[in-house]
Amino acid sequence: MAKKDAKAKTVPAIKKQSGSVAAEPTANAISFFQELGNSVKISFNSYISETKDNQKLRLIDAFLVFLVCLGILQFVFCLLVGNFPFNAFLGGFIATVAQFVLTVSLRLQSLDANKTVFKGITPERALGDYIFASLALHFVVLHFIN
Amino acid sequence: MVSLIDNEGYLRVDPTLLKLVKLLLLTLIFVSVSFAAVSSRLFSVIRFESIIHEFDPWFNFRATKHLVNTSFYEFLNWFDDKTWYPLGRVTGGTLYPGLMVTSSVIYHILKFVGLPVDIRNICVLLAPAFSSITSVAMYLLTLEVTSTTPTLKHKKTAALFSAFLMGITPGYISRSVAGSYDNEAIAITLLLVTFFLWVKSVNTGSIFYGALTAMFYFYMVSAWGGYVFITNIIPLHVFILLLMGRFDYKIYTSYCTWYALGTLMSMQIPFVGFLPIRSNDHMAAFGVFGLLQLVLLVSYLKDTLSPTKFVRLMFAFSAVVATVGISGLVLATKMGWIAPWTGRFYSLWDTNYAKVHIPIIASVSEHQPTPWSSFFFDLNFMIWLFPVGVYFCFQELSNPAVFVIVYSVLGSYFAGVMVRLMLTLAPIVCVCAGITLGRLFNIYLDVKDELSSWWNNKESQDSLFTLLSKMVVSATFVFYLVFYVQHCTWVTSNAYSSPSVVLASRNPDGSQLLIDDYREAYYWLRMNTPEDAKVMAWWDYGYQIGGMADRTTFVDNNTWNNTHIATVGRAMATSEDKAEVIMRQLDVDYVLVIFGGLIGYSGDDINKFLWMVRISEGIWPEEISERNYFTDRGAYRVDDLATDAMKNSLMYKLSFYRFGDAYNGLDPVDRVRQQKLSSSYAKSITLDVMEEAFTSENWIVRIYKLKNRDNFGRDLIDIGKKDRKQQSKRTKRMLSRKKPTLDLRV
Amino acid sequence: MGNMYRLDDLHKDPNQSAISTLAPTLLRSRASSSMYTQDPDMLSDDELISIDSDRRVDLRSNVWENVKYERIIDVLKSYVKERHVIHARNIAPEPTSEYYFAVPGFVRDDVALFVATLEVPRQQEPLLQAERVPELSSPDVVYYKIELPYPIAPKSQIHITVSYVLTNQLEPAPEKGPMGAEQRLFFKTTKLALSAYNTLSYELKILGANKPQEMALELPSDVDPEEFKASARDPFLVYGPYQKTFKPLSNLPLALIFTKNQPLPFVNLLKRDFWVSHWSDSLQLEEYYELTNKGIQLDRGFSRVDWMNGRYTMRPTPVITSIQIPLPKVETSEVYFVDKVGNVSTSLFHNNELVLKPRFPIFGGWNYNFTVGWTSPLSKFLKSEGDLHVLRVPLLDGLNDATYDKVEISFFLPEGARFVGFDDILNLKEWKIDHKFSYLDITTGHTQVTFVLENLVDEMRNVDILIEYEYGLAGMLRKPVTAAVYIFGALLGLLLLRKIDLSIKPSA
Repeated sequence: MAKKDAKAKTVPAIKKQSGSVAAEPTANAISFFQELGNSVKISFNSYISETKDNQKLRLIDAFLVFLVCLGILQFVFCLLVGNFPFNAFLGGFIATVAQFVLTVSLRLQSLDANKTVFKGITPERALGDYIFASLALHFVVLHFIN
Repeated sequence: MVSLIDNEGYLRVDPTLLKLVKLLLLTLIFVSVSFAAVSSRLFSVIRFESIIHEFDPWFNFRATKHLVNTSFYEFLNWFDDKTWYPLGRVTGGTLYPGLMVTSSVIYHILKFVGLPVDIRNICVLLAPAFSSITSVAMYLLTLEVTSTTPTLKHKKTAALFSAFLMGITPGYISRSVAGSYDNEAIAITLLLVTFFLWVKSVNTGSIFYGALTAMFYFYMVSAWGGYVFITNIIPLHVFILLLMGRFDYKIYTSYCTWYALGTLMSMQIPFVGFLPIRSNDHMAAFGVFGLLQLVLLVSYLKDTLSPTKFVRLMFAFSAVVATVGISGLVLATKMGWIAPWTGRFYSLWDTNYAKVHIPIIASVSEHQPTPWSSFFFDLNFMIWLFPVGVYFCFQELSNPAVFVIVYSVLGSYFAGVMVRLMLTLAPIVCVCAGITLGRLFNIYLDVKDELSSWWNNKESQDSLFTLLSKMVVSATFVFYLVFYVQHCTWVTSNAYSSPSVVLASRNPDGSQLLIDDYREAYYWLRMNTPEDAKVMAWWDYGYQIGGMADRTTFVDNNTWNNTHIATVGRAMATSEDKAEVIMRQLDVDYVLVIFGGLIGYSGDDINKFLWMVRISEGIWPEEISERNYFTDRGAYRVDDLATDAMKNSLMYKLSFYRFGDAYNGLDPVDRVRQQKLSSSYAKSITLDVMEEAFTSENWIVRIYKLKNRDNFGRDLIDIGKKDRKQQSKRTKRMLSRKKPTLDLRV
Repeated sequence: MGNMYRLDDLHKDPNQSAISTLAPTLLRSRASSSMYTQDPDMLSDDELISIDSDRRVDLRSNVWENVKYERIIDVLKSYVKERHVIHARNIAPEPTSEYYFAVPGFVRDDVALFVATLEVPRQQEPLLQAERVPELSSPDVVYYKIELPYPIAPKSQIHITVSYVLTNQLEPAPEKGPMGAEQRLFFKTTKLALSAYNTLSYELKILGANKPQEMALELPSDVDPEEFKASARDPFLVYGPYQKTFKPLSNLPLALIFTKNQPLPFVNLLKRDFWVSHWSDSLQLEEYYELTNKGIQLDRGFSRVDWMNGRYTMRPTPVITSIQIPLPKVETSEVYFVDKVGNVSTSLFHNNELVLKPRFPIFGGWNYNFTVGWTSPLSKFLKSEGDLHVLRVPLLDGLNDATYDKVEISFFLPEGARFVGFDDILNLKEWKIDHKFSYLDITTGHTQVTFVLENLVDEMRNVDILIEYEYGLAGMLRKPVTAAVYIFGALLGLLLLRKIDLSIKPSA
């Protein structure tokens, strides 16, 4: 329940602030250099322009942002409330991180620009692999949390 | 091949037929490699019998039997009260269940298809069976490593060579003969499969292979503590690739998939638990994981930003990350969230560390540094093919080649530190040697040009000489290969096929004589002592007593509680009266010692005695001192010249009790230490609180019973002294009285 | 041959399952605890001598009169064999065909074998029907009713021989001693014939009692101890002959201690598994023994030095150092000797006898569990008539001079065989049919028939056990055909799986 609420609240807010995952960890750096803000802006703009005509990519990115928020929320929750069922926290947190990583991989593989890097992996194959890995992940997480 | 060249240009072979022949040949090679691998491991079964070897396998076997007889969940919650008395051991949570689960799954499958094979036979033959899978995995790994090598014309040669080499290399056989039912038996196979999948996933960048790597990594974690090797070598590989500027999305995909899934999976093993996020051994993997995220971000930014802006951003960024990361790590270690490196880990870096700080680790012979000769012994001619293979990898420097280099360096280092880790070196040596041989034969067996020129009557000295030199080189290497096979067979049959439970010896007439003292004594314990009897012995024999004698032990090869082991060592090292107090506290019923002095069996307890002293000295330095067990001249003596501490120690007395009587009045000789005891002194070795309960045929195992307390509360030692005084008086009287009658008879 | 127990008969009663307990031929009521304690100090006179006089009426003790009564007790083995040769005369006015034989109550649970024969001139000694009569038995006396083949006319005489084997009668006294000590055995019996009838002449001979020593027991005041003194007449120890009338159930206790430097092997449990294979014409036998030596125990621990110095190994000792197992006369192969920790390499053939050397010498009170097995050709044991087969195997094979407390004999008939029935089995306690999955059993598994027998001695080796089963061509073909079908199915499945395309391609 809590997770769903979190999603509803946080996702739009962060989306406005910075659409890219990349910008998030750099938040500290912004205050140090004015230019940095500039750079972020540039990259953000280029991102927007790149993904204008690719709804699928946007969907993936939205999911990534959601995962980041979820992870942060879990971490904060753990710091505030305590990590008593440690495996539950760990399971949840690692599941988000792992899902994030997997999704990034999927995104990389499905980009047209990376076709030459990933020889023999079509976007369809990538999606299949992604589903396979995610299933494995969630099975283990379920087992871990009991 | 030759016949094809002879008819070059004239004969066309149907490609499907050729393919079929190739497939047939490949199958044939695999079958013969498997056959060689399995059959050379069966020496021990043929020469002795289908029996579990050594020490640890007995525990694994016992645990497997427990698993087969109960359910999996019961097995994981298994609390074993028959070991580490009176503490017990949470066995289910302190073992790697992979091996037991594997054999029990095999057991149930075989049972399902109508082959109810005895679980013991499955356990005995598991290692040979897995060794043939290992050679297949080796083939795949080498094939994957060489897949990008442009100079290798026939890709499969190198792979096939490495599979063949791996199948019979003594370095691997030493841990996988039939009966050596240890974690390593399946762990090496899993190690290779994991590495193969890793290289494959780096090559393709597929999430699928990354996930598969994680799964086999999980299997590996469940099977052997050596999984840490994988946990560190893969990040190191990635890290070095990053340093070389080789980052690409494939590495990101494969590594992140492996790490995220693998870490989560490895935490499912109860024994591993939260270690992957707590212990320092696993931090490298985590660090590289974080680093990869950053590198991905950076490379993304690099594409979109101008160089100057990018550099600035980079600086700020790395400064922040480095400070946060390092301070976080230090803080976490200080706060105790992350466990510092364990002792075994330190001993990997400083070979003297264990000797000084943890005698219990140093006391294990397989934790000793490797002597030079054993490299040749275990690897034979691969020892000089290995650097050549590494050189080829340097020449190529593709991602898989870097992996081979990293593995070679780490593997060689670890193999040099610990004898046991020769096992992890062997695979990579086989890969390198396979690559070398593959390339070599690719060039030197390829006599197509020479033959064709010679065939076409283009009489040229040149081609003839090249042909000749090629033949010579090939012949030399064929000779080396034949010699390798011979060496492996010889080493396997002579060095690695002894079950160590049964000892082989020769009668004067040359026929084989089996010395079966261990089983004799263990079986005596099993048959003729109460079922709840508690047997005190040095920890080496704990697993065997549990497995064969089925009796409760105090310490065993698990060595999880150093203090408990030290207590047993202290009881063995102190005098009889002090030992009695300790033994009564521990509730000891029987004491078992191994004594080789009568027949010259060197692996006995007197030779291990110094370790007992050292370990107990670590806890009770004021009571026990190693120096007291050496004579003033620094010699380790067990004869009349032995020090008082030695002579009074329980272990000494238990070993030599009534030793003199076996020599019928002659001076007894300890054949292990080559020291002669005077017969009068040997007679003076007495025991008061213990009573000899059983001694095996060749005296290797001696079992003593702790006497019950005296009914009148007297001290047992005082009683013994009084008895001896009276007896000596009586015998004197008897002797004086008997003499005349004896004379008359003569 | 006796009556065959047919399986079909059992199934007629719907309430009765195939797993049933049949009344064994020799009924032996198991008392919850033996009244008899072997400790000589605990011997009380009334326990041995008090006789329930009311019983005489029931037994009609005035029917017979023992004209001559000869009794021989044989203690050469690790158990006791008794042989009673009785000349009895019918003194009743009418013909009678029953003779009641009395056995002391304290051995009621130890009678391993009870055989009565009638000696008739010009005729083979026919076996007589004998069975215990629980209604008549008291704590002191157990009666066997012997059925004579025809009524005996008044005044005429018969000549009956009754033999029985008693187990668990010999006990070391003292119980413990040093290594190499002489083993003295304590043995308790009755000095007189415990007969239900008047006895006119009586003699007792004891065979095999070396260096005998009779324990002085308190006797009733009217008995003259001098009268019942033993005299040694090699190789016997003889009491009597007494030419005087003994009243029914008159009795005197006899406690004897003698030397016997031989082990007392006692098998707590023997499992005999016969694996029948028609395909390979082989009968595999695996025997699992739980062996104990009931002889004198060591007072201290075992000292290897003393044992090694050879002081005790040359002459007979009460220690089991080797186990002889006579193999069947037919050819045997694949002989093995293992115990729970693996193969015991010290075994050899000698005169068609398997000589096993246990891992350690078995002293009194020590145990040794082991397994031996061998394979013989099935055809030597099998008589077939069409699909019907009769398997005849010896009841016991191994271990000379041993007493068996419990024996479980199992037959593993081939998969698909139907068990038909079995012949009378000595001392049978219960039997059952089960199934057991073994190598390449796919459908129902081997048919397992298990018989549980109690209280046997090695001399019953000559006795055979017969079972009958049905196993035809259909049964023989069933296994290979099912196996072939399974393999074919698996291959077909593999082929189908390969046809399924799992590759992910862009959906064009």
